[in-house]
Amino acid sequence: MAKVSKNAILGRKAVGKVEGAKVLFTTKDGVRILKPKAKATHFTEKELDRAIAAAMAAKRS
Amino acid sequence: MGTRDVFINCPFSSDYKGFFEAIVYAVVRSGFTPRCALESDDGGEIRFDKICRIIAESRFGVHDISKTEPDPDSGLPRFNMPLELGLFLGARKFGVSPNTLKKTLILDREAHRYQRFISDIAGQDIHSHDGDVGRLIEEIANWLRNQARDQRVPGGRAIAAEFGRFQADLAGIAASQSLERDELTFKDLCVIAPKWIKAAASAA
Repeated sequence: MAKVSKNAILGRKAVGKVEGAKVLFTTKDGVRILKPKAKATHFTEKELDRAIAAAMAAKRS
Repeated sequence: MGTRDVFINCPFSSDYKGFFEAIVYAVVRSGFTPRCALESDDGGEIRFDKICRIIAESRFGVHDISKTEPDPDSGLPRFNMPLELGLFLGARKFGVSPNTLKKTLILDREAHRYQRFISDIAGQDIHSHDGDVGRLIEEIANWLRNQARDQRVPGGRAIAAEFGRFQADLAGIAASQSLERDELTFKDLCVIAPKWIKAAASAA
């Protein structure tokens, strides 16, 4: 029987490293989007998540 | 050397801002890390040394040499882009491995125009973006896909369409921190782009 990874069972996207760079997430088309090397100048992670969600919601409404 | 790092050599002027955002987005969406002189603001590091360090750390270089007009204030053209292109080509030519593996994409706004102002690079494959953001993204995405030999990277036109939606959201994202869009820094863009791509994928 073929081995199935725990991540595959749990439906998680592959993360880890690609050629030494940390992977933030993998898109549906399979591109591994890399983690930025520095932090944002004007945003914390939470502020940015909220700002992006708000901008997208505003576009939908 | 970061084998996914892409050194961006382009104008940082306000009239080029949209093109600069497009380059950053195309690099991130193609699965690479954008690097440029704006990434660190350390007054203790000499600018030339900083550029040399980033070039040394980057496997790939995207160089847009299209801005040749004189600066409105000084009446003189800016020579930073040709200088940094020369540094990058020199690192490949005279450096030791892995610098000899560096790959370069040179862009201008018209095919063959470069021969009139930087003829020594004649013989290199120069790409043209025709002063069009969509074409610029297409050239970069196609080039990175070929360099990485990664067929999963979407086509340039698909990325350009995504970039249009990304740009439409940037003003709102900036406003959440009481900023104008043009106040977003390179480091902001490098963090916003991957998060936006992730959020857009989840919303689809």
